[in-house]
Amino acid sequence: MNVIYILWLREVKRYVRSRVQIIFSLAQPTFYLLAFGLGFGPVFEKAGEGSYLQFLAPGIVGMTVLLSSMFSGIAVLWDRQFGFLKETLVAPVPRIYLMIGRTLGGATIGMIQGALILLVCLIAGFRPQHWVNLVSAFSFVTMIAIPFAALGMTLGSMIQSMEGLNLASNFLRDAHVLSVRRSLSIEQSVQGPQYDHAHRSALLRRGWSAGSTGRCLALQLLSGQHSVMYSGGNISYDRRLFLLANRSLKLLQRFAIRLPN
Amino acid sequence: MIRVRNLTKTFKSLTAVKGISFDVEQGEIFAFLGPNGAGKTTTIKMLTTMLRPTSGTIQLDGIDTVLRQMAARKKFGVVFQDPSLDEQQTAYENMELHGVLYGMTKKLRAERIEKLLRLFELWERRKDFVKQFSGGMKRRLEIARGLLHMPKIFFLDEPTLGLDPQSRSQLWAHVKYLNETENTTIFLTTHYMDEAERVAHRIAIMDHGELIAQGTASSLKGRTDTDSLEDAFLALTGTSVRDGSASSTEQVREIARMIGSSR
Ligand SMILES: Nc1ncnc2c1ncn2[C@@H]1O[C@H](COP(=O)(O)OP(=O)(O)OP(=O)(O)O)[C@@H](O)[C@H]1O
Ligand SMILES: [Mg+2]
Repeated sequence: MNVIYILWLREVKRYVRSRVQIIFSLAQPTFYLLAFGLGFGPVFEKAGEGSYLQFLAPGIVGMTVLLSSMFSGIAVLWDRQFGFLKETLVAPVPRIYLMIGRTLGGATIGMIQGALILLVCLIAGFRPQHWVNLVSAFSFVTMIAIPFAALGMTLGSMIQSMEGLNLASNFLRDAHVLSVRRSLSIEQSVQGPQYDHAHRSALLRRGWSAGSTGRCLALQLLSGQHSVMYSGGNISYDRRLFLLANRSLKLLQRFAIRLPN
Repeated sequence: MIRVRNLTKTFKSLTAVKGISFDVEQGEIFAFLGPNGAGKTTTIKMLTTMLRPTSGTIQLDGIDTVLRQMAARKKFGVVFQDPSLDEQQTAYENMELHGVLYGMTKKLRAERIEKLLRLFELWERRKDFVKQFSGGMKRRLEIARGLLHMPKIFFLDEPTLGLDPQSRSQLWAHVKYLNETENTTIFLTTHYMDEAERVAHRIAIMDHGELIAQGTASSLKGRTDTDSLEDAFLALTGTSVRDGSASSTEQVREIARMIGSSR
């Protein structure tokens, strides 16, 4: 227990101390918020969809949590390069504790980042439909943060060198593109509670063909996040995502056994 | 205390350690000497459960390191050839983390940390980040950390690499002091013959993965009919230079430093 706590604490301390990094990592989603808000906003509103910020903000928050969790997981790669990993591997502590401690640390960082971006969105004028929804949104976002922190860590510990990192990020990008494609079809099968869905998929397709990973992710998350945080929850969609989270956790368990040596 | 039998490690095509056997008694200081690439680090990695032996057995204080890995890990402390500190944390936090990993109680941890940081003259700098330390201070901190949980066996892989003569002799003085006061068994490797001669009770010389000689410094000199350990070493291992190609990890680390990434 102590071991998990101290490893968690290490991650969080490192995050809190690197102020420059915090600002940088917040700059990117804020930029998306502005770029998309300015770019798509007027079109969106003309089409009678209501405030674009309301539509976009949950996706940006979700994307921030997902990416921050994953990248703080991947930071285990730096521990290998700088040697600290050896110190933990040689200690009389089961590997799974090391993994849990770091994963929770990475997820916590992801959540803090998400909360900060939510704050930015709130300042920019975003309002959740019901404040109560923040509670369910919180648990949903936790479900994103934990598996993705673990996934990042698994990737980080499988990668032995910097060349490997490049390969892995290419792989990730491809996986994103594929999963966005997937989510488009899911999207079409789920009846959006408020939107004309032809409109939505046109929007998604446009974003997808633009090709950038971050944008794909933002768009991918728009729908799922949105349904929980804004429109109050779409049951069938939520269950699907829950299953996904569950499945990725199972997969990770299998990976955890094959940690570095 | 350390009992090694027919220890072998094969990497793909290369056999780095070829069936070596040796014993180290409790409270002994045992030095491993050998040219670059002889297999010293590989041996230490197997002794410390970082590498699984291809064949052969290792017992630390009677515990088999392969069959009872966790129990074996509690027995030793280690300073690796490459740095293994967390540069983003303070000296004290590095020690604290180590103490928790080894399951020390809070009270014992606090006492031990203070004692060791004072001994290695780092107590005043305990709140400074490790990245601000000089090479010598980092090395001292690593040694202090390795000794924190009062290990019965202490492995040191080239601990004095890159240190000035003052730091080297001070470091060995501390190690000797701990060997005498806490009866810690010490297994070290070094390229400085004078250190080995001064500090170690017994010396083993390794070359091309094999142990070619073992004994006290004077017996090695006697056997080769030389009057310094350096000459004995050269007589035993020849004078040709070994290919000491830098490991890829080291190169990557260098690149990472140049880019200036901190994590
Ligand atoms: N992970 C590895 N994969 C393949 N070969 C390896 C690996 N680690 C070590 N070797 C090889 O094993 C041999 C012994 O290396 P080792 O690091 O044990 O030498 P050493 O005696 O510690 O040398 P030095 O004095 O330079 O530190 C070398 O030829 C090295 O290239
Ligand atoms: Mg070595």
